[in-house]
Amino acid sequence: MTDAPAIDVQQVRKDYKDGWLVRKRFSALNGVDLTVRRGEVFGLLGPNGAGKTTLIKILLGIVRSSSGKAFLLGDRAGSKLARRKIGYLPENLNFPAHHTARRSLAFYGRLSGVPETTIKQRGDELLEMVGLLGRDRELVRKYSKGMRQRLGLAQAMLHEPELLILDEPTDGLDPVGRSEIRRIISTLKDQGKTVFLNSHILQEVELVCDRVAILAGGALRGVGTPSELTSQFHGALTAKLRIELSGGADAVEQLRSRVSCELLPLPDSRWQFSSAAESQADVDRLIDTIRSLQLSIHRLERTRLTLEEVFLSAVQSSDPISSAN
Amino acid sequence: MKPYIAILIDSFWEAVGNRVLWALLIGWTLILAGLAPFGYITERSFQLTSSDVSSSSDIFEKLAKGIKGRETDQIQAVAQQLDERFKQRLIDSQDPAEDGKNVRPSEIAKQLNQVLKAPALYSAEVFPLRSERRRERLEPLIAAGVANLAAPELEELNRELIQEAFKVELHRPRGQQLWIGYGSLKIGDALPISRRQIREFLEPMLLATIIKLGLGVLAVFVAIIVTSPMIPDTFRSGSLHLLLSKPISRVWLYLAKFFGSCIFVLLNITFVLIGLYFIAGLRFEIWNAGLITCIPLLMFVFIIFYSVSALVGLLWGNAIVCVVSCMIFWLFCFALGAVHDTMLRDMDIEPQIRRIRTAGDEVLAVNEQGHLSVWNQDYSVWQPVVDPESRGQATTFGPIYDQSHEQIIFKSFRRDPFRLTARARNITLVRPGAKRATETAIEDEQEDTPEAAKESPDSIGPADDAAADDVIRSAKDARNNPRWMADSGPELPAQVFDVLEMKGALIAICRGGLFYLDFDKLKITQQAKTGLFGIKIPWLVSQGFENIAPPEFFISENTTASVTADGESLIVYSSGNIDRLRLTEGKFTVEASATLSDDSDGTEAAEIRANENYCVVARNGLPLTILDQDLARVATMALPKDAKVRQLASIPGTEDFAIVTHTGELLRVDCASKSIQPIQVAYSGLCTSMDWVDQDQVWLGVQPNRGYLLNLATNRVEQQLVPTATLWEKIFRYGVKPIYLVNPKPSALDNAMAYILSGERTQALNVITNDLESAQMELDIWQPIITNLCFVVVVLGLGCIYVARKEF
Repeated sequence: MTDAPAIDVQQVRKDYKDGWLVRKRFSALNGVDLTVRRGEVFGLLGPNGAGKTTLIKILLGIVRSSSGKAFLLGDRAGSKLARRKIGYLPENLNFPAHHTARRSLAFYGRLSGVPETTIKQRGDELLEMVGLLGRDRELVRKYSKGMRQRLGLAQAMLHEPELLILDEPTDGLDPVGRSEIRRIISTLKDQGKTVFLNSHILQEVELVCDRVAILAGGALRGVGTPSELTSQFHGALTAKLRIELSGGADAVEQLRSRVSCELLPLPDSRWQFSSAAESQADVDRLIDTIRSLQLSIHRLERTRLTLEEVFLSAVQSSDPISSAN
Repeated sequence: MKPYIAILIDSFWEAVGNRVLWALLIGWTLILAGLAPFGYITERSFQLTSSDVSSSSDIFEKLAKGIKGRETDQIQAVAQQLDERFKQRLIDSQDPAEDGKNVRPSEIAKQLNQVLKAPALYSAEVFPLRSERRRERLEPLIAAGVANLAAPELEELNRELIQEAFKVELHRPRGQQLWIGYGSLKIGDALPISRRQIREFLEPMLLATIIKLGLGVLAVFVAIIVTSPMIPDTFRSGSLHLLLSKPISRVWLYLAKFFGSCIFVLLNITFVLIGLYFIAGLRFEIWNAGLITCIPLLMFVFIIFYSVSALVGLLWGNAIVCVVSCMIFWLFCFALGAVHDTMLRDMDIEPQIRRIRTAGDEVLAVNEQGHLSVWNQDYSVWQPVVDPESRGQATTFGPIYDQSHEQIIFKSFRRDPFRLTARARNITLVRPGAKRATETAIEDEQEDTPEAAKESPDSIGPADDAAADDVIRSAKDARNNPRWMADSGPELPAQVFDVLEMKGALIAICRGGLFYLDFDKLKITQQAKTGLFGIKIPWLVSQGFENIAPPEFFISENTTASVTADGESLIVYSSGNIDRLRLTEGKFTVEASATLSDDSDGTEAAEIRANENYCVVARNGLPLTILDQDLARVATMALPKDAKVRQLASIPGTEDFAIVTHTGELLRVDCASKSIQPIQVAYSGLCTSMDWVDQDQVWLGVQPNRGYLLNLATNRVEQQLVPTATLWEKIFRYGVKPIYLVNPKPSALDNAMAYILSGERTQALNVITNDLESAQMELDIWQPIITNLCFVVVVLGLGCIYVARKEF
């Protein structure tokens, strides 16, 4: 089973029922297939209500799937064996009010079955790693949100899990805090750990994740590296050429009639021209046309697709853009 | 189990980190520090206190007469030693009987305490000391010479002399006086009860009440308020998802958190009970390990409520809802318990037959309320003999059936912890056979002086009782209407302990002596006809009881007596002293005497019975003592299973005695083989009283108010008196009782607590047990524990199922 993927989700479906009298049924996950390879940092993206949290809860065994199967490191998701191998940082983590950082680490370490000596030894290392070593005897309730997140990360790493599931680890953190978390994730990756990251912050995901999955409406919309995703989306989305130009009104009208484009007036008799340009040939042809009409080109920009645009497009689209994996 | 131990340890730290815990511990410390100085103060003192004065008005009257030379030499001697101002007051008193009513016992005690210091009180002529026991005690003091006595010795001598002067009006000197003290400060007067009696009251009642109210209610509810957020907080998403991601079982997580939360309460309860244990031990010499044993019991009480709080916390996730739910649950349990306990008292305890007798063809029964009833065969109910006079834990003398005059003699007194009270001290007479004659006499009175007859306290029965049979048309009528007309007999002497039948006469055992009244003087119709100024007064005091006790025969405040089975002798038990007296030529003479020298202090309620060869003494909290006819100790035997004697009787035609225990068992005491064996009867465990017809036949009072005539030789029930149940009794038996049985009842754990503290399986309903026959409540220890345990298991089980199935 050592070759088993870190996360293997097969046709997982989750239906919820709601209402007191009339029980309405709705699907949070609709037959999701997903594989996360060992040692990679994997990002899960999706809007609110996409089913991300449900998927994580299924992986942790907090909720049961209606159908399908999920495995963590070869063991059935939710089983004690699987849970022993994972570290989890929940969103909106609350520590008991009477805990200090050290007592918290000891408590969660004992729950994970870590020996006392290891707790002490690893505790020191981790507290230093997350920058809490000097403040480890303070009550956690006095900590800032960033400190609590770092402590949460420390407890997730205490038993040296093979897989870490981090739910919004940088949520509410300042740029320095986010950078710190990114550094820790990179360190984990270097140590060969698998990190499954659920985040709203697309830039973060783009920066740290090896691969990304987009989940919307309970279904996967795309899976791959950020560049794979953007390139895959090239087929579905139109790249644009944006040109700032000036010239006579007749010439501009002629351009509008020859080329399918958008023309927005700018100050100083200038216009902003926007048109689809799928390939370099399209760009060359457009520039030739503009120049042939004696229009001057002041600025030229060829827009490139971002992960955010891919994400938004994927979320708005009803069909999957590419096959997962 | 390591992860779950981690949860328990974490809960401990959570409790330690809780400020409320520290606030509570400081509060408890202050309370314990406030309680710690309470304790006994014991001093050898002969000073009188108000509780020693039995009748201040009588003493004042006697002193007033004494100062004027119209009382005994002894009273005159005491009066002469009084304070001058008080003497003047006595001299000035025109109507001492009336003036005496305004004198408080404390004032009399204060004045007599002045006499204690008077060296001139004693003189051999005035105080010849005829009582052997007193003479033995005082001889060394008198021999030393009054002038040479130190102040405490003089006090002792004078106190005994004062007692000699006021035998009945003063309680006997105790020597050792007992106060409740705060530090070295005495609170109030010396206590009228002994240390043993205090202990009897302190352990099951006071300690149990402190624990029940202080810890069982107050501390538990504070604990519920403090711990109620623990489960909702744990099962809130922020912390729960992290916990659920760990390799632990949800169910065990819930249970570990539940029991972990109990640590808070455990710390509090342990602190308080250990504190109480040391205070009770160091200050009251009550080293009761039961206090420590109460810790798990109180924890159990908390667990019952907390299981509800925890389940609600799981379902609603809100601490306020948890607390409110607990309150509602507590109110429900309290209401059900209150209804059950009230009805239990009214339906099961108070109707219990504590005495069953036959009078001619009638079967009579006295219940716990002191009401005398007669079996009404037509409607199968116990019908009141007369209008009931007393209620609740009453003491009833009789019923004695005067066969020669076919009349029933009895009297009920209401009992409070320290004395008996009744509207009038006159005994009650009922003549079932001569009903018409009595009614006629009363009717005549009513015709002559209707107002006087109506207001007369001597006539107990209702005026229209003549037609009593006519108004009885149903069982309900029979229950509510007295069967017969009653007349008021002669007044009983003061401070009466018992009234017995002996050789065709009544013997009243009183503080003042042994009083005799021949049955022939109880002819109602004849006496009723003797009138004064045309108004018929059935009884005059001068025609009443006559003291026939031997000279200087001492009867203490704790006395019981019995006539021997052959009817020839009277056995009197008085604070550990036993005398066998024979009635010859209208006077009692002492045949034999003995003192029970054991660890008793003479204050225990007692019962004594004798036959030709043996005498059996049963004392509360002590083993049974068997004496021979010379009152020499033959054996001391404990009852099986630590049972307590409720009723003792001699079995006719045998040398054996029978016992009804407070647990309802019927036992036979075989004096010859010195053994106690159970008598196998169908109603074992339910018996409340007995009346032996012969060695094989016995009438048994059976709970709640049934009567059975059993033939032990044939093992058959020869007659059964099973009263028809009232609607309320049916509601109680078939409604309230079953519901109560299956419901959780945290307050019923008091039974177990009382058992742990007192070590006794039954508990008296009175504060101080001064009557063995009074019904005691059997402490049902295991049933509440089992039902409460089942409840906790079910509620925790529901919580576990919810936690296991819930998708958080």
